[in-house]
Amino acid sequence: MTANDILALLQQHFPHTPFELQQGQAGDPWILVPADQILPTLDHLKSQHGFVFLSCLGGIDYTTGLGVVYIIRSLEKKCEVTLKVLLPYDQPEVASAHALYGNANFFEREAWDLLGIRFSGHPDLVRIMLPDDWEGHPLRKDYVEAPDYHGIPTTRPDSHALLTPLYPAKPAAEPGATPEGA
Amino acid sequence: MEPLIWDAGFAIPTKIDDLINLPRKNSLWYLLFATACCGIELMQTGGPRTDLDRFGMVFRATPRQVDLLLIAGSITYKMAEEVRRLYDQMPEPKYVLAMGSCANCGGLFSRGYSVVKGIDKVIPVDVYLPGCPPRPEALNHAMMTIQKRIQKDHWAQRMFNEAEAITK
Amino acid sequence: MKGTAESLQHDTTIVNMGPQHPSTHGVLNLTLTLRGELIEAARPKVGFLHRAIEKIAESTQYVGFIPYTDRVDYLSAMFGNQGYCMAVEKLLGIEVPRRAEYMRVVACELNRIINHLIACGTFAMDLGAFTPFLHGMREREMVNDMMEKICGARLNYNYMRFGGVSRDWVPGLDKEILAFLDRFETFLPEFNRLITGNEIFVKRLVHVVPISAAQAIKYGLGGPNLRASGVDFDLRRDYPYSVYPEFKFKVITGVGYRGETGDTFSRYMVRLDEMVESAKIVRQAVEGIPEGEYLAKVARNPVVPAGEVYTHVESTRGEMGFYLISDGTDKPFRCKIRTSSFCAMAAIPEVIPGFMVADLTAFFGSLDVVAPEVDR
Repeated sequence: MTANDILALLQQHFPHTPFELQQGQAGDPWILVPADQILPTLDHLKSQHGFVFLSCLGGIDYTTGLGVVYIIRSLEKKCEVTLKVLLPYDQPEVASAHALYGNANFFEREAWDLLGIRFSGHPDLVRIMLPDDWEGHPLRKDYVEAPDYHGIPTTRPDSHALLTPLYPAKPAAEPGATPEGA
Repeated sequence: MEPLIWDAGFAIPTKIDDLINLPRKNSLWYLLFATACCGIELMQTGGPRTDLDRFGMVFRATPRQVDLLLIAGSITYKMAEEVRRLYDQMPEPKYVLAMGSCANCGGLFSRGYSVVKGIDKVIPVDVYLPGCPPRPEALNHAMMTIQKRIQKDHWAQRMFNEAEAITK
Repeated sequence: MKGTAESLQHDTTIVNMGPQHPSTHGVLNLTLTLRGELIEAARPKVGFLHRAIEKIAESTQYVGFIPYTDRVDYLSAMFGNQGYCMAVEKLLGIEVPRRAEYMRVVACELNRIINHLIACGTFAMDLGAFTPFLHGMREREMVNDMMEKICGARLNYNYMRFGGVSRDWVPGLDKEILAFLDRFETFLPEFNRLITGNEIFVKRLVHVVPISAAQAIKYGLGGPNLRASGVDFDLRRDYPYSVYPEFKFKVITGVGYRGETGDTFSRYMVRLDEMVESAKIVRQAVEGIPEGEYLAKVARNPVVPAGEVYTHVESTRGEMGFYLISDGTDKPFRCKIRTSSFCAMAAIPEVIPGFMVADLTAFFGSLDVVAPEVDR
């Protein structure tokens, strides 16, 4: 089953939801789902069409907003589909999928820790990778390092001066946009 | 009479030191503490081809019974306090070997936000061993360097000097 | 009555296992709530080895990121290389020459063998048996020599490039690999005589923490953990990539030998049998490797067109996936790495209650979790 087939199935079951099939210049297509409809969509795909395996749940910082991507797989049909949700910076909140997929619990904690995306209904949304008293969400594009942590300095040796700043000042290009000169 | 005894007797504490340090350096117990990739090379060095047991080195799981803390692998800020606690729990005299680039200076992860840029920001280090990961032969050489460091410890000489200062 | 079980007061204790512990494989922490020796709850705490690999990807050129993919899981470094190179090759739209694909398969399956040697060896060591670990290390040293001849390094290989591999085989390497495989055929019966048939070993492992197929799928486990629970799923066969369709090999699923499907002994036996299958694949690949190029003609550091792609490989622990977002420059925009050990840690709180601390040690070794895969 391709992404087009799954889009047709979803549009048949949820006729009022504006799903959108998008693709970059190269690579695989994904289905863009409105943020409040992601949980019914996942539930429908899992219970009716056998997409029982959550392969990946990740957060992304597009400099225009945040995104969450879900990659789910059906073991009998041997196919996967990528669903994406876009969230604004001032209210990055989406429903939690921990009741449908067990490993979504840890993936969502990681997205909260590193990107600041809130998952409503999550039983235990605390930091997982970083210490509990860390400040900031490091995977965001505008993150700035603190000068020290609990007295341990964060300076780098001169030989490790960053050739490219790790935290660039200018935002990166739009997702899926044609690069200049390509 | 007294000055002659002190001058001639100076040779004895150095010989006693050599005698004390010989068994100390040949039964160096290290803590089983392996964080990342260097830990696998440490396990391989304890394996059949390059054998650490022939140096008298065995691994112990508790810091109370070891002389040597081998930092093998990257240390993150979350782990740094635990490393400090392990170091404080070791009894004196203790030695630290920073194994691999990540323990020396943060290695290739020093560009990130979460790795301590060198374990010497947290605990004092005796020997630095570069490599990513260092070969078992390199780890052998580092262990022998620590042994040379131990051979130079002054126990009897210090007691001799203190006794000399008191009586003079 | 004084002194009976009813007159004793039962209370729960909270005990910390890790992060410095001889049998957590790496720096992982489990906070256990114990009632005597029985575990009532276990809460994993991870992140002690979080090295910010995904953030570093955003400021490193594509080819400069390959050594970091080694260190995501250093015991299966070739699979990390392969997954990432496949993602970039998919975006670039280039095809890898057949000789390079064969060389990639040989490197990966040799890597699978040495990983399972360490997994089974340290698993036996956790239960108190030191000798099988040293036997595994002896074989591993031989393969490390071959890896050095293949790519120059013993542990973090940095072998694959976009469009192939970094260098051709030295003459005589194929004979050396075949000689090792002949010798490896005698290794497994020796290993089984040492530990697998041992009655104490078996009694400690059968019926310990069985994971049902539904639980394994719910938590997204992969690799030997998933197959030992009876789910017949292998990415090499079901989502064919590289040249795996050209080789004949069996996909080993757990059969509940001496216990039940999905218990600790089942996971251990699946790993042992997978080593035999990997040896078969290496033999077929070395004997049938074609002549040709080892690297496609592509820029060493390409500018990748914008787009998103998700590739996955059947790594030693399960599925290792790379979700790569490119924005048209020479550095990735976002590289999310999906690892199986992270999902395995998520499964622990549900399956372990009701067992004892000694069972937890055995179970944790059988899950084959490594800390860098969990924390990245």
